[in-house]
Amino acid sequence: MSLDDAFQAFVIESSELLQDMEDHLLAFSSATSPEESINCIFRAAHTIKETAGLFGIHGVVGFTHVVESVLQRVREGSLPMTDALISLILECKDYISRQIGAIQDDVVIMDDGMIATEKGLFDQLCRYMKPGDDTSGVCCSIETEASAGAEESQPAGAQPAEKVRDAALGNPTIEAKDDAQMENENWHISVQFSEDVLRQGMDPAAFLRYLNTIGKIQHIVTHFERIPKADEMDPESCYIGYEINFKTEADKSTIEGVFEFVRDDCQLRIIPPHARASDFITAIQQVESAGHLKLGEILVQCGSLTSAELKRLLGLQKKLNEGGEKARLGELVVQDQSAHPEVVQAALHRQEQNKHTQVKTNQTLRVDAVKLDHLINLVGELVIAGAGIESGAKELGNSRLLEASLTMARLIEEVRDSSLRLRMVQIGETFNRFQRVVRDISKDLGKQIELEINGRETELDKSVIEKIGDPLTHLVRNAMDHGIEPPEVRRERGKSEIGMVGLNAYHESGSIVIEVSDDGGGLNQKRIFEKAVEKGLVAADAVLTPQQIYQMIFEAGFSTAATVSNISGRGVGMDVVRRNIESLRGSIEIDSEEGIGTKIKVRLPLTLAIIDGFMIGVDESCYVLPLDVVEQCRELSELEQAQCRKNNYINLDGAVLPLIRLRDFFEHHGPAPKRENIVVVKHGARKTGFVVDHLLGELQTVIKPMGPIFGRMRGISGSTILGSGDVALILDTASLVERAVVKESSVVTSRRLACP
Amino acid sequence: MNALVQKKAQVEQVQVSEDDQYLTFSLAGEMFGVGIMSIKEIIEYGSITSVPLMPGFVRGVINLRGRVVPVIDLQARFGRPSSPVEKRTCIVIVEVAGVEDALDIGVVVDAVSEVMAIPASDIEKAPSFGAKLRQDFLRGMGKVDGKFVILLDISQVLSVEELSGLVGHLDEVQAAD
Amino acid sequence: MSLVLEAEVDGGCKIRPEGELTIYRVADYKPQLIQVLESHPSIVVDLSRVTEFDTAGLQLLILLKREAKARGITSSFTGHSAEVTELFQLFDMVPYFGDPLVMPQDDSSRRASV
Repeated sequence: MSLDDAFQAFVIESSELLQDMEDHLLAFSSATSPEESINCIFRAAHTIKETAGLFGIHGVVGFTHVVESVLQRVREGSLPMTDALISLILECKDYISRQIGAIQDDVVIMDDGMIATEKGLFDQLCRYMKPGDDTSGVCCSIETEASAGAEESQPAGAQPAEKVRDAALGNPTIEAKDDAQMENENWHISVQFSEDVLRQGMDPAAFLRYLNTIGKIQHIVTHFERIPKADEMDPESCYIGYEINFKTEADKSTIEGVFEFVRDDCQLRIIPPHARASDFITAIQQVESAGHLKLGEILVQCGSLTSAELKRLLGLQKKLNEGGEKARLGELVVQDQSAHPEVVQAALHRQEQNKHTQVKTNQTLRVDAVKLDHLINLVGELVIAGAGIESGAKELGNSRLLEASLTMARLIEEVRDSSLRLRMVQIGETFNRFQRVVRDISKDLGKQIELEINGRETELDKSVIEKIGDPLTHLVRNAMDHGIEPPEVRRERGKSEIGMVGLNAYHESGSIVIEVSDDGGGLNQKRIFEKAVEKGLVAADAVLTPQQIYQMIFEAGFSTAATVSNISGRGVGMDVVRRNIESLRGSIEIDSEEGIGTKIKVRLPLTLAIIDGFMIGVDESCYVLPLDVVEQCRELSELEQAQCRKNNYINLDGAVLPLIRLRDFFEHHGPAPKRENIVVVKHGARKTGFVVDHLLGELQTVIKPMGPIFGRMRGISGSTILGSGDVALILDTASLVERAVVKESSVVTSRRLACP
Repeated sequence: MNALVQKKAQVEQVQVSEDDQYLTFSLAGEMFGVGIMSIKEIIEYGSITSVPLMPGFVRGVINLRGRVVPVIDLQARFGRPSSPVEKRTCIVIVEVAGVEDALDIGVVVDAVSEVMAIPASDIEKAPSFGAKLRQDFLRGMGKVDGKFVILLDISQVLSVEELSGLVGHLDEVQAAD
Repeated sequence: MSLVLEAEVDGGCKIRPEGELTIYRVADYKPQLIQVLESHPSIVVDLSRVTEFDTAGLQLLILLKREAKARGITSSFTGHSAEVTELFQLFDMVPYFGDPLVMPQDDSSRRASV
């Protein structure tokens, strides 16, 4: 892994950690285990700090350290996690993410805005620091690092910030411990020999001499208290032991190797120097696939614990557990002083982390999206090639070939479905982002609103997920702004003051449904209708179904809100939402009950790569309409045929149905068939009939992009290759209708101008 | 180091010689040439799916081994009447620089004649008028056996930016008509 | 018999072990030393003739020192041979015994580093 890769990994990991942090912060009030939540938040901050430290990014280290220190106080229980503090930490999280985004060549490039933000956050964090923390005299490496960072990344005038940093560094729980152990830069070796050692020809003195060859015994205390009274003492038994302060560059197993021959005949403890703790922690970070390793194995791998020690401790653990005690290895290791508590903590964290990623790797495998797209393209071509073989086989009439091609077609279909499923992702992550949106907006609006999320595990195509965020945000904002009533009103109506916005997702008959619901005032049909009439969208005497009325809110320039807030209500938005959804070949339904709430159902195709289509023929050409907009299709009666030639509309079930004659619209000049057909297409409340030559039936087909030359074309959304090898165009019926409307109105105007 | 220089020189030489080669074809009796570096293949004319509501120079799209490739009518692009489709009519697939990736575009020509080498010394600057073609479409006039071959700057003729702009513009104009 | 009872001064006893004072000899020495402790008001151990010395020997001297103290007998060790000195230093037992000891600087450092 190159440094660049490592840095990229840091950026990705940080953003994941920050997201974790945010999730936990937002869920804090409802967390089942607040301790665990705060631990996660703390760990996230801590890990970012540590990793940033590895890259020498002082700006991030310095800031995160202060955040961490405040969190540490919460962890200890000396500071309550208030809403205000959650908000502050959220802001800090945003700021850290900004910092990481602004890193160039290991330095955080700060603009004036960031400097101001950082100062502001520091000042606020300062209030959460322990008052009167004596920071003088505490000076450890981190402090110098942090202030160096401050110098680097902050111009003059950042004094208060540095003070806070100093204060943070004075946090006794972290730093005082560091301090005490800083003195111990050497290894500590403690040996107590068993009585038989001397008789077996071993001399404890020899080990000391050997130790001196791999390092230097700085200090030794020999224990001889075990020598019994004269008459009980066996001069051939060994009673002594020693405590050694040992300075060496050698690693733990080398030291342990010194005592190899007496390993079973002595109690040996090798305690690493404090300086090593950080080495071990670093080593732990590098232990691969720690998830399936046991804690002890991680400690052994990083060199903090030797296998012999592990064996002994595991034995002890077993004994304790047999005795009915619940002994955890981590605690034993610390009690035993075989490893530093920090190291054990880091190992546990690493194990946890890897378990996490292990679970993830078990469930998901990271694949380059480009590779996946390529595979899906190939599968698409396979589908087409398969269709070609099938139609060829039909032509030839060879039954064996036909049978084989049908088997292949079935397999290809399975391959296609499986490969498309590869690109399916859960919608949960997209939903989770709304926690923050809801929190922020409810604050702005002065309403108390909670978000309820369901159906997180519902999967849909990545390409759809990427495009659904914006429309969903609009819908959620709208629900919060216009749906949920102000607290006073809710009280009057006998509702809980806390409003509820819900997000839900589920699969339904080959498509995915995403619901945005609220328990607000509901849509006022009368007001919408009046407004629609006022805006000239419907005739004042029109009879509309509730659904048709509701759909009006998606018309351009429509807003029922009496006041325009900065969140929504400017009348842009909802029509954009509909257009976005329709460009994804989706549709919107609305359920609403006045005073109870509104539920907006967005129905989307599972994937954008494949379309369920309805094929029609005009002249020599074939076109595909998305099946979900097709409401009905049939042959035109003679009467209707005559009517449509004249007026471009027919009477459908008592209502006027405007028609688009594709033959004329697309300027096909071949001979028209005697009987034409009609396909009724529905967009929102509006129905349109497309007059076509032939109805060729349903098909499921792979969408082919048309390329950049057609990028700005409207009316045709893509193309597909038919079994015959010919290209068929997929029609974007909504924009065709729009286009027809514009065209007709201009024709009408020009006619008016022509004959005054 | 020396070897490297030599290699580079060789490469340049090859490029220079390839640069001098042109695929020539006829359009309404006139000879045109396009540098062979941008030619990918030549296919038979057939099964073009016409795209409705498009400017005249968009003949349609074809299925080129699973990819949908636009086909441009060069005559229409030059603002001349389209040639009728005949036996020798074919589609030349040309690679041009797109917005992100290189892009294949087919062009309809009356007949492909041959690949010929036209050294730079035999190429004259395009006349400022008289060719009845936009200046930026021309790379120069090649002299072959006393006749002129119009050498096209195909990246200009098939500029993706310009073509998509025209498609979009026509779309709006038509809609507003 | 290599534990030489050299002389008795003021009722005290001076002993001088000779040769090895190691695991191989301690079993023999121990009862003799205890006996000396029981019959004398003070004891001086001359270590100049000790040619080999190990942890077992050290333990025995520690026992001697401790027992003497417990019985109110003064004990001192003199004439540490290089071997004894090295081990005393290795275990940092010099302060425990508290006897002046000639530090053959070069010698001990050489040995320590062997």
